[in-house]
Amino acid sequence: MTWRELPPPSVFDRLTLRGAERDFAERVERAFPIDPDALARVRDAVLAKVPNAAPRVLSSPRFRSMPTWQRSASIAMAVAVVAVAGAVMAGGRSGSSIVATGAGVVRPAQAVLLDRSAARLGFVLATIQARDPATVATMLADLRSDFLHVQTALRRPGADLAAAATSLRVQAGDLATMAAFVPAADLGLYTELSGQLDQIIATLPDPAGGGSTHPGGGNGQPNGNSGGNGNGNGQPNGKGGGNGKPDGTPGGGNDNPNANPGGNAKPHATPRGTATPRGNGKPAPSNAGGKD
Amino acid sequence: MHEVALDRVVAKSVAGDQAAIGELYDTFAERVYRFLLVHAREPADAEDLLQRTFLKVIEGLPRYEARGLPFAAWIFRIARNTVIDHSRTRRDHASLDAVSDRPDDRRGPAELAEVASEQEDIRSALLMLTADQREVIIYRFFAGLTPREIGSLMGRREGSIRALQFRAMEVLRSRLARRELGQPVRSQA
Repeated sequence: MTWRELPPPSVFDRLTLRGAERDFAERVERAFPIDPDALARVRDAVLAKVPNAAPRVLSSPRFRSMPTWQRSASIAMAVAVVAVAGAVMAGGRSGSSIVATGAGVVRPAQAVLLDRSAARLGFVLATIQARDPATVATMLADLRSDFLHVQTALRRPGADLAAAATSLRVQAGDLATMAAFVPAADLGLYTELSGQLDQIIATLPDPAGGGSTHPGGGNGQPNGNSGGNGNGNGQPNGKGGGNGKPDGTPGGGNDNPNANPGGNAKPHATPRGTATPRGNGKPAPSNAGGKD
Repeated sequence: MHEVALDRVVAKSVAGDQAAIGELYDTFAERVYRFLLVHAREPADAEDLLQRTFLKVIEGLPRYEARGLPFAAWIFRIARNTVIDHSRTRRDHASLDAVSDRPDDRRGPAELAEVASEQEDIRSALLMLTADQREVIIYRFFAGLTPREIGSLMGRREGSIRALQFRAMEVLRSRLARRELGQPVRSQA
């Protein structure tokens, strides 16, 4: 029998059940009491992970107590830093290193996460310069959370590890420049953060290694061996590798303009190559007869 | 919180406003905690699940779109999924279904605290319900959702939810009244 087939409840039933509902609700509240301490603990933990950099800077007591000119200067500085961070990110993305291959399209979620951590790094620097240690600590904690999100995103299938490696290396560089300015109280967190970032980067392929992520690029592996039949331009700072076919047939494509068939890379070695002067042409352990 | 005010807080939270997210937490934390408590049994587990739930909520906020699902219902869907994930990964987790296999193992000892005893009464009473009835009662009395919100969560009409609640309350009233009188109770299943 379904509820549709049941007789409608009488008025008496309705009245008594209303009372029963109230009684039951009270019993539930008694039997399952709320632990305010637990709620507070979780609140702190959760909000510490909220990526909300800008309002925190603006709402810090220190900031509010600043003279107007100082506040304006802080805002201008923060905007400038974010603009620079954005430019760095945009520059990185427009380069060949982060352009998608056929299979490894840059995932928006991953790109967003990387952008977020990069932007927050800028804010951390701005906050350090504004001498607001409390906010610095919070932001470093937020940054740690950002990196965890990035780490998780990179484990997903289809993640563009090369793009992430490039972006995270830039961020690691930015982070390193802050070392001298981080308040003493936050040095522990800062060190932990640096370690965390290094750990993530260590799991990523070395952009200096093999295959290019350029659309026309080859498929070489990070160690520079095998694959690599495309005519791509390699990475701007490529160091060789990704040469030739595994079978070593002459004429095996080379996706990196910096490497010569014998693995003795030379910068600008090929007419096709578009490597910038950053390319340092490190010898790659080439094992095939690739040609430039 | 009024629906319009809630919409505003949700919109700010989606934009990443920390204060708004804090307000959102304050609005729902108690209800979510109690909802998790009835599933998790141990307060420490409920606390852990609460944190996981809200982290998922925050992570999902940028993707949240109303699309007819009330925000409260969206949060409790996440909470429910978190409970399910938790019970899958921890076999010793005492979900309601697990309790049904051993309904009497925590009942009766005099040394049990009054609260624990009361909890057991309610859990046992809930086990007398059908799965749908139980879900409705938990959403209604532990999570504090409206029949409309429950309906959108369970994919049913509001009238259907009210009817399920009505039948469930009959069973609960009978069951809990008998227990208070010390009479034996028999499963209706």
